[in-house]
Amino acid sequence: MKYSVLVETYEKIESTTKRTEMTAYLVALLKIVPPDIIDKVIYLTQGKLRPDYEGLEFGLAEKLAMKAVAQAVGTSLKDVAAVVRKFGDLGSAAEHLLAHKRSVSLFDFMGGEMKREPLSVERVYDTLMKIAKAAGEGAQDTKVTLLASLLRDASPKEARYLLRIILGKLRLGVADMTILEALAIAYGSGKGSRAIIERAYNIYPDLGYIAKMLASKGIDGVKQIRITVGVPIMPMLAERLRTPEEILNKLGGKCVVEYKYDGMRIQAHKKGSEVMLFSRRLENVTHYFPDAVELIKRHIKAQEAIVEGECVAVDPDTGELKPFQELMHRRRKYEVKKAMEEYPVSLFLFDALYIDGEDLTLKPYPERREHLSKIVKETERIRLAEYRLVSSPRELEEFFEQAIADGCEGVMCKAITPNAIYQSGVRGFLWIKYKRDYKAELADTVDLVAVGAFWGRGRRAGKYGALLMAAYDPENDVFRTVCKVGSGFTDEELEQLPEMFKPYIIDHKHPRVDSKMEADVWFVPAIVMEITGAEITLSPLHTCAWGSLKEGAGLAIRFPRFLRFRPDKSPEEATTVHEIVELYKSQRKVIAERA
Amino acid sequence: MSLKMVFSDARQWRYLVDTFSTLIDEACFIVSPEGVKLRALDPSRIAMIDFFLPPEAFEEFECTEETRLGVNFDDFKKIMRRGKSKDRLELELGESDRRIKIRFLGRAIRTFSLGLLDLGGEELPLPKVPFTVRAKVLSDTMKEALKDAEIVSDYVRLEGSEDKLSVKASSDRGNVEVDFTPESGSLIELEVKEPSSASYSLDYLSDMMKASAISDILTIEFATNKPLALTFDLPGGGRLTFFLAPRIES
Repeated sequence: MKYSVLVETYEKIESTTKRTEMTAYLVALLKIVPPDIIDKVIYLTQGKLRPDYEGLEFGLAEKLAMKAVAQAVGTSLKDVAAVVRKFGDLGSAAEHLLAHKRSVSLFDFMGGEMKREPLSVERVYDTLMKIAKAAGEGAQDTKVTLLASLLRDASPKEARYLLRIILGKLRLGVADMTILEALAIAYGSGKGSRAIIERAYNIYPDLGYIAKMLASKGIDGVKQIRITVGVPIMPMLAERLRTPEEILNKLGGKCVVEYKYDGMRIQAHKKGSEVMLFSRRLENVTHYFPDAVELIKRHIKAQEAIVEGECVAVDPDTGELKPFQELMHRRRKYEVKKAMEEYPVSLFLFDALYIDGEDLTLKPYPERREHLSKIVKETERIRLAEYRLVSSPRELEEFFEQAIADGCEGVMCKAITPNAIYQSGVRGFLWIKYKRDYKAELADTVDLVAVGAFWGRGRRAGKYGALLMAAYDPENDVFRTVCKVGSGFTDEELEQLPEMFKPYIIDHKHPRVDSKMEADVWFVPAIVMEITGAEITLSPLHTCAWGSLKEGAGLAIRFPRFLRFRPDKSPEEATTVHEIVELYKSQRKVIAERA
Repeated sequence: MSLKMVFSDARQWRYLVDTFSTLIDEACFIVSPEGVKLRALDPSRIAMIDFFLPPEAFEEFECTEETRLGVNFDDFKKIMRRGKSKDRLELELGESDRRIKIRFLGRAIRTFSLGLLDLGGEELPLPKVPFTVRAKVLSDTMKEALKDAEIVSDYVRLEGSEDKLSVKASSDRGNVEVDFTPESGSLIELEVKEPSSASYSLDYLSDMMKASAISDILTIEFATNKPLALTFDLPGGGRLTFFLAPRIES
């Protein structure tokens, strides 16, 4: 299959902001892809070669990619740099250069016996894979030569997309859910197949693999996909409520309440003596936490297991729990050992999803917890999360206060009914969080995604004066604005914002952003921040929940303040439009009650 | 099919394989009763290797029918680097073997085996170039001239005129010019049909010049804005030629 077919589809996708149209273009493409390379097509369309959790990287810095362009075009690195300055990015620069000039190859002197073959998807994928895998002595040169060899045979447009992939900036605006939808339409049979595909994705979030199963074995093949040690599972997520009464009501009068530790949620996979750790965003974080790996290896008494828990920084001197911010010192590539000594971690396990061949996700929570307690050999450093069975609001509140006193951010209330399964990838009311900040001005803090910025004036001239923040709308897979936040930042943070957002700046509103405001600078939705505020009001300026409460109005947060960055959350994990609506409704009730 | 070749100096092969590995990832040696051949393009198709070694170059050469030995040069290089001075080299492929045995015969007999790759492909044609300059020079002196040029540029310009061959490089960092004349002793032969000049990548040229370790004399052929051919004469009537595409100035 020719690579140009993919590029044509990408151009169409980028020409629209409508998700239905994007999906239609994808479906048209998927229908003509031969089944044996459908996984490669999916990965390339996502701008990668393998699912993210495998952590495969090209390892080719922009400077080296420029060298490859220089080689392919037959010009100097300096000339390429000049064109990049003019066009803003290397992809467009390469497109321009290749349209005008191309270096001579020996083929040009073989009297027409050999000629350029158009790039095939297979060749593109295989060459990119070789680039990613090149390691050791001379690897940098190999990577450059391989990329140059592709570019030499690429059309100018193909070159632009190849470079965007290499630099990790493909960004077609196609989310995983859009690809799932397109797969279901192209290969599924009716409505039921979408749910089956989504379930498979939640327990095996590798779209390339799912597409291959679907294309080669049909929907029955997808049904065969099982939880696999080494492949992270989409985590189950919690809803939120404001009072113990509401929580108990929702959970049927009694529930298990668990400490919600202020750390990082970790999914640990153990296979014999091999251990892998994944973050809630399914990033492989194994190398950051050698101590946690050791704890799992020694204290989980099962050959194969997938367990979940919270990884918390502890004071090496007192054993006291430390806040989340301290744990962030552990997310580093170098001096891992030093950081491990300064900021050791403890593990508090709260769920078991798989043990020695048995998928536990469809078992009720108490049973999973029972399984978990049987395989953990508890010590100071690794144990089960503190929990208690409660059946009254008073008991719940008491346990909550105890949790706060012990340095937690709140509690998790979990259903203990027979249907309390592990809902992989779903945010539902089987788990409900009850957090300290509920008593702040706004019923809760919210996690919003920065989608744009406005230049500052006066003291803030040349810096960002405010950021345009949005909530996530999972139904339509878009981000809808709720507020402009400019306060709460320290001077240092303000200073760093432009640099921090630099990789995400685009020259137009991102297709997944819904905004009535015209920002000075637009961003790819990527950075999540925790925001507090005074109250939620109806607003004609913001698009969150537009028209759903009142015609011609959306919801906005008044007096928003920045609290902290949430690098552990992906934009899709931000507070949803629905949650903002719920927060709005609950505060109205409060006002009504007071009156 | 089976074959066995013994070469008197393992290090010569080491230099050859080292040089090849800087240009190509994998390629096929074709062994026949006429000798050993290899012809391969680098992935960017800027450079080509054309190599031939006749049976006379070997101490022992047994081959009854044409055999293709596809190798990964990275792996091959690692083994060949284990060759010591004064080691003899033996390459052996038994009937229906999938791996070639590489044996260093020295103070001990050390045997490695290397998996063979199934590399297909038709024989590549050679670039057809009407060369207008042909010069024989001392490899060492040329190697040094290219190192001089690297100080200021990534490219080098070769100029051939009636009485000299010049290697020139220039950039805003400065200019370098190295002249080879019969008087200076480094130019052994010079034939110029018409004065010619062309530019070539120094990266590739310096990779190719690694082969100077096995041959003192080098033949350079080129023509204006046409590929360059660098030929090293090998023992026993063998030959190693590199072709390199020119850089066409816009």
